[in-house]
Amino acid sequence: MRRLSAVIALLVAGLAAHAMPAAAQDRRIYVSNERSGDVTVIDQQTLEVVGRIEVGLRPRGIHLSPDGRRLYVALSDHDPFEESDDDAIAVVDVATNRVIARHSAGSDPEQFGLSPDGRWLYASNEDAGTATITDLRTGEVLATLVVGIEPEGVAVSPDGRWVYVTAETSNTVSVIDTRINDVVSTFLVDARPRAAAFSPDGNRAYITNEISGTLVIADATRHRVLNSVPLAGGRAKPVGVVVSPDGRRVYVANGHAGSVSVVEAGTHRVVHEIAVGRRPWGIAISADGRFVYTANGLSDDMSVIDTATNRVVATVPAGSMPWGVAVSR
Amino acid sequence: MNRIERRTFLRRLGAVGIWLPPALIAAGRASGRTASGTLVRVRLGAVWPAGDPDLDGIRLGADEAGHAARLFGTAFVLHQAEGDGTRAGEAAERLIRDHDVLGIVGGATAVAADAIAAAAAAHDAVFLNVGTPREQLMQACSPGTFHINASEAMRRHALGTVRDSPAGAYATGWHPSLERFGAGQVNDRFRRAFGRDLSENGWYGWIAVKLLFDAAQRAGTESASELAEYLVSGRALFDGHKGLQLSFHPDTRQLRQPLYIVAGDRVIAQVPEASALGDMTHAELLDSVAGGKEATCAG
Repeated sequence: MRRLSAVIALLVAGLAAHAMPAAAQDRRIYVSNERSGDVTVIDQQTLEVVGRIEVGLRPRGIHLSPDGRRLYVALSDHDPFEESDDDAIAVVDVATNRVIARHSAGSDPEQFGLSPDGRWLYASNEDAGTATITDLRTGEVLATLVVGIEPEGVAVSPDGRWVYVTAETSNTVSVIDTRINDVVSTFLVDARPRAAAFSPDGNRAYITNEISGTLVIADATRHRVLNSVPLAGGRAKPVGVVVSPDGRRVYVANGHAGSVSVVEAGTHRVVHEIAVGRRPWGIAISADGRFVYTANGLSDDMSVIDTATNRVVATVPAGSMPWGVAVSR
Repeated sequence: MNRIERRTFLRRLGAVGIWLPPALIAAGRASGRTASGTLVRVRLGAVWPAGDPDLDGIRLGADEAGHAARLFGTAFVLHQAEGDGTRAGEAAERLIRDHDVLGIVGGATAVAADAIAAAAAAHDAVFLNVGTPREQLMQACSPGTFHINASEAMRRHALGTVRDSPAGAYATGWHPSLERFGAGQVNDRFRRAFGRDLSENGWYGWIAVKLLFDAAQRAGTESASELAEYLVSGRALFDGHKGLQLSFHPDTRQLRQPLYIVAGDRVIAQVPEASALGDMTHAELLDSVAGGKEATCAG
């Protein structure tokens, strides 16, 4: 009888937990707007704009902490060579939509990645030619490492071991080993690499190359290029890249081509090209892989792609010159 | 704390880059390549009049190639020689003979460019002419000679595409006010290093060193003839911060590139615009608008 009571209690508790609505901030999309200096907050279910967070000058790179409680936004001033108070990573409490802290991440931080445990932030400093490692518990800069010329994209492997930093002028990817916080390898990719993303199993990395119009597929265990896939017949200007949660598809935001390419990870074939808003750079995917979102810099909006049909199912207004997008996990 | 600022690093190295990690050179003699597959050493030469401010574009290119080489564990050397007029040919010969350079950047004047082109052809080196439009050269079609400087035909075509261009407007390969496609970063890096604006010839020098180093790594060769073949292979595509893929025309060995129309020291147009691609390839677009197919070396 006691066992039956316990089972009933567990069932009731389980049902209650299932019926309980998730906190509103668990279902949000955040778009950084480079020109208007703010972040647009969008409800993931209704796709309605539910808020706007003023963060500071030139917000670009944007990521949620692994626990979803903090939103990090890269800010920078208009002097790329001098580090000022306007160069920072803003920390937003997503429960209140308020900026609660600003961390240093070197001069002109643009893109960054977070360690899986949420403790370390790795940022590229474009004009200083460095990558900065910041301890998010203390806000202190742990290390500043020399990487390629004009570093841009940053990606952290799922196990947190490797950080890839692309560099636009040297056409390189610098590999940081997080066990020693130093650059241990550098490899050549195609012309003007912009962003990188790892597969969920950590075996592959995907690097977009804006001028060559290609997606480079790299062996992320040996840090070597395996293949280079032309996008949109080589006419794409790819920037953002994201991998589906099951690792089977790679979605690339084609910038001035105004489209998203869908690449099959297993065959390296481009299987769809989907027209979106103007100049999509930032791209993100929902936790279940059902929707892909693009930040469209010249149409001031965000496109929503249904990955089951590979069609745009909604366009949501954002601020001025949207740059990046982050989605609640 | 492990804090290394790149600009500090560059300042310490001085003007023209010479990076020679001894252990890597020794390894290079045995294998020719680093563990990551890149070449162990790249040796280039520059022949340019001493004191000419346009030399600073070559120096920035050398700094940056040296920085990239250091990341790869590669040795990069740019040997610089002074030389003007016909003496430029002698300087080029010395660089090839004494330092075994793979390629030479130069051509400050038509006489110098002709002399270097002849020396490069006679001694198996690639020559990148950065200072003189190809129509002004007797040796424009010498084997191994490539033209970075925009030809006069390209300039005429570019200017002709702009309707109602103001009196005094001209076509140029670069301008210090450019911002898009990372151009602002190059302009800023040059100002930071040398305290003045990056000129057109300065940009030609910068991109010449950048693309020679890049091509040598990608072609994976220390042979000048193989490097020359690679440059016109169709696989050699470069980013010069102009928004389109730069490449060499296989007949003229002229660098395909967008040009800018300037009036009153202000850029009023880019020809062609990257947005004009449509269904064309980058090379087709640049050939169709910029006159890259004119005056071929065939026949």
